Amino acid sequence: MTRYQVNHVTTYNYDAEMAGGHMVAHLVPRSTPFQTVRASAVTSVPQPANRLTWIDVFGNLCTYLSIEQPHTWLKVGALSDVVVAEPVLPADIAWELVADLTTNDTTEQGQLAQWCREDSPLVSSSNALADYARLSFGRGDGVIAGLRNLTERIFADFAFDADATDVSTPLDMVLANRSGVCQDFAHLAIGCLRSLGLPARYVSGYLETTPPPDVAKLVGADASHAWCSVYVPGFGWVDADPTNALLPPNRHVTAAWGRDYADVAPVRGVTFGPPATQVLHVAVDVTQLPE
Amino acid sequence: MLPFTAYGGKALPGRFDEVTDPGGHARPHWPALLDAFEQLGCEELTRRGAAAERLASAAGFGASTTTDRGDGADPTPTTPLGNDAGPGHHEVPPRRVDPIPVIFGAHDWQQLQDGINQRVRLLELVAADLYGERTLVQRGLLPVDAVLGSAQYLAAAHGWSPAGPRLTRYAADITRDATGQFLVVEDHTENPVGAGRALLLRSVLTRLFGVEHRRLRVQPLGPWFDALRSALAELVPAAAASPRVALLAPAAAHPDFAEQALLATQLGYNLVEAGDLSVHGGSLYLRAVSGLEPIGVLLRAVPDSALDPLEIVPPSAAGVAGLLQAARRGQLGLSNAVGSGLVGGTRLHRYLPTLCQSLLGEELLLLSVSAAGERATTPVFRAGELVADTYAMRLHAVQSSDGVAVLPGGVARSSGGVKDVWVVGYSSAPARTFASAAGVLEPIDLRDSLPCRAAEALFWLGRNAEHAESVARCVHVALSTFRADPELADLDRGAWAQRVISVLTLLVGDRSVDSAAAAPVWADDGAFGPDGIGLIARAREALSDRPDGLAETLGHLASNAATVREFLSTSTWRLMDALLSERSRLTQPTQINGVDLLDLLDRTLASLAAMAGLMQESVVRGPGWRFFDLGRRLERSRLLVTTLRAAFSVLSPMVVAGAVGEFVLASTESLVAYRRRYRTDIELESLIDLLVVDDRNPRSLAFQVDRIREDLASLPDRDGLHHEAAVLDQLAGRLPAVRSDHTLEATLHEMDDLLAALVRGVGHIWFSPRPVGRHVSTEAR
Repeated sequence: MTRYQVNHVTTYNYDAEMAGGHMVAHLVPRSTPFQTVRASAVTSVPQPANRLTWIDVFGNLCTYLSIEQPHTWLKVGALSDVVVAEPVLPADIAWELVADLTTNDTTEQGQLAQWCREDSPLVSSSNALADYARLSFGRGDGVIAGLRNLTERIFADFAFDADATDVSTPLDMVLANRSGVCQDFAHLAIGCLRSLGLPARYVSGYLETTPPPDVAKLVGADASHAWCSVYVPGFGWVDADPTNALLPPNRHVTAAWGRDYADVAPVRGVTFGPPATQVLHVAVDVTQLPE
Repeated sequence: MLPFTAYGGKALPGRFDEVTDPGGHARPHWPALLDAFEQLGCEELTRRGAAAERLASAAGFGASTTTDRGDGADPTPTTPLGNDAGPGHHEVPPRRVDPIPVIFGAHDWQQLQDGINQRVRLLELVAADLYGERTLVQRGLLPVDAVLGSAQYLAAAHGWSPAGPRLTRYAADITRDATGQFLVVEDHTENPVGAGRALLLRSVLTRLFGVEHRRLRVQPLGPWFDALRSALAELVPAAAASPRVALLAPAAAHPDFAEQALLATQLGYNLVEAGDLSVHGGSLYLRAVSGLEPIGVLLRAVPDSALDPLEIVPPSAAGVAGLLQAARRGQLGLSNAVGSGLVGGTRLHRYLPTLCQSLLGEELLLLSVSAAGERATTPVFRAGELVADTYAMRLHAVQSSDGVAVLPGGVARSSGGVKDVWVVGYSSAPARTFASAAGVLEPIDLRDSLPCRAAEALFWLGRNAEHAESVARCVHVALSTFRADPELADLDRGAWAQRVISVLTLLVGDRSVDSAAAAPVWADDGAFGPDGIGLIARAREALSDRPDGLAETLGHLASNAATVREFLSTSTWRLMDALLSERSRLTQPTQINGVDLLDLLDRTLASLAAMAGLMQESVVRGPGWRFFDLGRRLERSRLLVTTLRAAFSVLSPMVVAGAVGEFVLASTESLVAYRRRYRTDIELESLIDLLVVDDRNPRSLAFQVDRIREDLASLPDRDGLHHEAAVLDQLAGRLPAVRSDHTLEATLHEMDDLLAALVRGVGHIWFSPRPVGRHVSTEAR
C-alpha cells in the first residue's frame, strides 16, 4: 500500500481578456479494486460561478465548472489523497477465450468491455495493428503473457518523442513513424488489442517519477500519464503501461478511464472572448505521504 | 377524361394497393376522391399539380429533404425517402408534388394511432432503461453493440433523467405489407423533422383542392400543433427561470430551416440558432436586443452533435457550451432529450416484438418492414394518367402527460413526388384532450423579443433592399436618358456622361471595368462615342454580381430574408422568387439587349417596391421592423449623400448642369416632386432644398434623419445610444449648411462621416460580435 498526494494544476494564459468559460474535468481520481480515494477537491481561480459533479457511464467522477468573470489567466487545480495497492493479476487464460467469453458477458463491466472492443473516436482497428499484435499473441497464448509481450515490444520498438505527435496524430502515423508519447502508446496498444477482438480501454492518471539518487525532485516535474487495460472475464481489468514496459504498473494513480483519450480528457473547455492566443501549462506533483 | 377506371388494372402484383382490393374492387372512400378528381379533368389536374409545386417550392418546401440523422454514421438502406440525399448533403432540387393525396378512413387511422401510441410508450421505456440500468442488455434482450456500440448512444445522457419524457416528439415512416398490415420503415426519435412540412403541404393542397378536401371531411392538422405546444409547456422544469420556449434551428442555409421557421411561426416561438444562446448560472439565455432572456424549453431541430461542444463525443465545435449542464441541473427542458436517437432508426427493429412483450406485456402492433423495398402502392398522377407507385409516409406524434397524440396527416413519398396524407370521414369538432391546466403557459409577449442575430439580418435586409433599389433606379435612369438622347453623352466633351459614371462608380465602388461588359447593348452602340460606351460599360458593371452590384445585393437580400423568415409576410417569398429569377438574368447582362434590360430593371424595381410595401403594411412595428427601417433609412441617407457628392462636387458647365440635376432627381425619385413645386429649369439650390432640407419629401435626408431618430427612440435602450443621438443631432444641424455653394462639398463629406459613425454605432450597440468560443484541453503528456 502506498499513499500519494497528487496535485494537478493546469494554467491557461491569454493575451486578451476572456469574458468567461465552461469546462468539464476528469480530474478527481476514481476508486478501483486497487485504489482508494481518501479525499479529492477541484478548484479554480477565478472561482467557479457554478459547479456540478456526476458519475459518467464508465464510473468516472466528472466535474463541471463555469467561470463567469473576466480573466486573462485561469488555473484549474485538483488536489487528491489516494491509497494504491499492488495490483493482483488473474490466472492466465488463452487470449482467444477472452475474446469469446467477453461476447456473452452482460455484467456491467462485461457490457463496457464489449463496448471497448468497438472502434472509438481516436482508436480504430486495422489490419496493420492486427499484424503488429499477432507477433505477441500466438495461438493459445495466455492473454496476460501476450499483453506483457506487446507492452515490452512497444517499449522497445517505439521512441518517446514529445515533438513527433500531437493530440490529433492518427494511429497509423504513430505506427509508421515508431515514435510518440504515452497517450500514443496507450492508443497503439488498445488498437492492437481491439484488432484481435480483445476488449481494451484507455486509462488516464499519474505516475510518480523518481529522480536520480543525488538529484532533488523538481516540483511539478511529474506528468499526467496514460496507459491501457484489458478485460479478463470473471476477473476484471488488467492494466499495462507500454510507455514504461510495466505489467502490472506500480506507482501509478488512476484518474479516469474510457474508450480512449476523447472520453476522459483531463479538462475540456470552451472559453469566450475576443480572438486571442492561449498558452497552456500543466504542472503535476505526485508525492508519497505517510500511510 | 381521366382513365380512373383503368387504374385498377395497374396495381402491381404482390403489393397492397390503397385503391384496389385483390378482387379488383375499389376500397372505401377512394371512389369519392377519384370521382371528384375525374370531374376536374386531366388538364385542370395537371395545371393544379404544377401550381401545387410552385406554391410549395415558394414556401421553401422543396429544399427540405434530409432525415433527422445527424452524423450519417448509420445510413439505412431501407429509408423510404427515395432519392434522398444523405445528411450533410444539402443541394437538393425542388421536390415534385403529386396532387393525389393518400387517404385513410377511420378504421385504418385507428390502427395507425394505436400502433404509434404503443410504439412511443415502448421506445420511451427502452430509452429510459438504456440510459439508466441497462437491464435490457443485462437480460440479453438487446446486444451491447445495438446500445453502447451504436453511433446514436450518447454517453453524456447516461445516468440522469430529463425533466419530462425523452420522446416528446416522435415520427415514423410507415407503409403496408402485401396483406395491408401497416409496417414501420424507420423510427425518428432524435429530431423528428417534417411536421411543419406536413402543415405546409396541407395548406397548399387545401388551397388548390378545397372543395374535394371539404367533401371528404378531412381531419384538420391544427389541433395537433396545440397539443405539441401543451406538451412542450409541460417540459418547463420546476426550477427553470422562465417558461419561455424557443425553437433551436440549424443554420439558415440548412434545408430544414424553412420548415423550422414555419413551425416557429405556427407555435409562436422565437427561432434561434446556437450562436444566439449562452449559459449563465446554469440556465440557458437568448441574446436578444433587449438583453439576455431566459429560455426554459428548447424545441430542437438539430442533432445531438450540434447541442453542446463540452460534452458530446466525438467533440464538435457546434452548439452551446453548458447546455447539457442546464438540462442536467433541471433548468432546461429539451425536446427531444439528448441521446434519444438511440431508440430510432432501424437498429432495434428486430428486438421490438420481444421488448414490447417484456416491457408492456402487449403484442407489438406495428411490425417493421422485413424486406428492403417492401411497400404498398397508391395512385400518382403522371403524364395525364394514374399509375400505381410505391409509397411510405411520415407520421408524427407528440407525447405528454395526457398520452400520445398522432398528427392526422403527414407527408407521403413516392418516386413520383410528395403527397399529402388525408384522414377522411371526420365527423365533429375535435375532441380536445390536450387542454390540461398544467400544459398552459402564462402568455409571453414575443413582440419585443428579438434575437441579436435576427436584428442584424433585418437591418441588412433594409440596407440591401434600399441599395438594390438605388442601383437599379440609377442604372435605369442613366440608360433610358441616354437612349432617348444619345448626344447627351458627348455634350461638352462628355461632361454629363462623366458625372453619371462617377455616381455609378461611387454607388458600387471603383474598379476596373470588365472588357466583356463593354460589349454593345444596343445594335447601334457602335455609333456612340467613347463616353457613351464607357457609360454603358459602367452601368452593366453596376448590375453585375461584383461587390455592391445589383445582382450581388439581391443575393444578399435573399439570404437575409431567409434568415429571418419568421418575421416576414408569407407573400415575401413570391417576391423573392421573382427577384432571384431577375437576378439570374442580371448576372449575364451582356446577353440582354438594351430594351430587355430596361424592362428587366422595371420589373426588379416593381418587385422591390412591392417588398417595401409589404414591409410597410404587413409587419408589426416591433423592434424587428425598426431594425429593418433603420437599415433602409441609413442606407438611403448614405446613398443620397454619395450621389450628391459625385454629381455636384465638380461644378458642371451650364450646358449640362440641368441634365445632371435631372438625372439626380430622377434616380432619387424626386423629379416629379421637383417639377410640381418649382416649375422651373433645374437649379442646384432648389434641388438641394428638396433632396436634403425638405422634411416632407420621403426621399430627403431630413426625412431620413427624422425616421432614424424615431427608430432609435423606439428600440430598447442601451448604453451608448446617447452618443448615437448626439451624432444624429449633429447631422440634423448640418442640414441647412448644404444650401451654401461654397461649403457643399465639405458639408456632404462631413455628413458622410457622421452616417458612417451611425452605422458603426448601431452595429456596436446591438450586433456586437459574438463571443468567440475556443476549445481548451489539457493533454496527457
